[in-house]
Amino acid sequence: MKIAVISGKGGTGKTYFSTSLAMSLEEADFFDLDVEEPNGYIFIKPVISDEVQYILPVPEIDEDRCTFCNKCAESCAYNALSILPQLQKALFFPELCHSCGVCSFVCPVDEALIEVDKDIGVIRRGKFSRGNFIEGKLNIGEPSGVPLISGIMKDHLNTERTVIIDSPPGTSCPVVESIKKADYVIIVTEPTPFGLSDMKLVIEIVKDLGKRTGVVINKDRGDSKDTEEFLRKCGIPVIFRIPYSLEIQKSYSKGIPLIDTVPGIGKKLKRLYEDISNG
Amino acid sequence: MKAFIAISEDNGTESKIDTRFGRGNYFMVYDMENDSIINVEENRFKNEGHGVGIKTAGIAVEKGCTLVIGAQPGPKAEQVFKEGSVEIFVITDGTVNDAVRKYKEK
Ligand code: SF4
Ligand code: SF4
Repeated sequence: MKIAVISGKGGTGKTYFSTSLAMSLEEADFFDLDVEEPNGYIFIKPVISDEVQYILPVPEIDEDRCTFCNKCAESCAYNALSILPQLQKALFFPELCHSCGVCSFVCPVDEALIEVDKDIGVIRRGKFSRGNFIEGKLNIGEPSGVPLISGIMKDHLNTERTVIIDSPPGTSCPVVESIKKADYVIIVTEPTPFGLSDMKLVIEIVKDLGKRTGVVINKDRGDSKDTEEFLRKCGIPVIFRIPYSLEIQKSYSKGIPLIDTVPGIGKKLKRLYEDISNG
Repeated sequence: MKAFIAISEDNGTESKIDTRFGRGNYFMVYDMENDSIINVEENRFKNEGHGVGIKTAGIAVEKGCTLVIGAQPGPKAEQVFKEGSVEIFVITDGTVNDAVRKYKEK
């Protein structure tokens, strides 16, 4: 069973929940794919055993060799290249490049367009009390987490194992990438008007992907009527509640996991997992 | 001087300026000295995903335009214009006539 935990925006308790869900199980792998700001390690406390740079090939054009025939730019599906024959210039826009390799394949001139390595982030691997820990961290200024996330999912996902995925917040492409392979998606939300409108947006995405889904209400003070009303209409169940309490807030800020803060909550989380997998 | 103008309809100098740089329905190349239209062509790229502005800007540069009139191009298109030393005159509504006049009054 692969469960992805997402949220409409950052700071809703997504990581706080996902880490304790993983720790409540006897055996599970934890994937921190919130690549812009991975902080699951704070609660999971893994022992890291290796760290590798994540490299992607990108084109580099030698303007002295290039004949400005425009073949590369024409075949780039992402408009990442602009060839300006009159100016004898070749422009490359790394933010748009998907490292598909087509440009270097079509270039007819020897050595005019070569592929060079671009370091986009780092992948850390290790162990925590329940299984494998893996985390992707994007370099600052890197435009998209998609390649790093898809790379981790392709190379490191063990389909035999239970995996809890901590996805990026929001509704962008990296979120979609991180939940593609999930069997179930948990949305963590707070019962505020903002929380509700952000949640609506993520529900759209999950629906489009046709994933089974349930909602966790964080900071629940029994005032989540609007959220629940909306979910009822969508036919999405509320599967868990984290109560609002000062004690929880305090231990959260100290990096103490939920499971070690509220007595008995581990058992409830485990049961939740069982309910989901018996589906 | 040749100006590059993204327009939403093909109606001569009364054509409306398009509010989005790379996604206008037509591109017009305009001769600023003789106040005449050099040519108008359909925007083949307007329904493409990312990077349309780059392609559009590339065309403008290739056509030898040294001025673009219209909506603010995106940062990547702007980079292409910078390479080509193309001046950008931002105007977001009105017709080609209005825009050309405003540029000349500037
Ligand atoms: S690698 Fe692919 S996406 Fe990147 S510039 Fe070349 S053709 Fe475009
Ligand atoms: S295909 Fe090769 S030679 Fe042609 S413009 Fe691109 S880099 Fe230059």
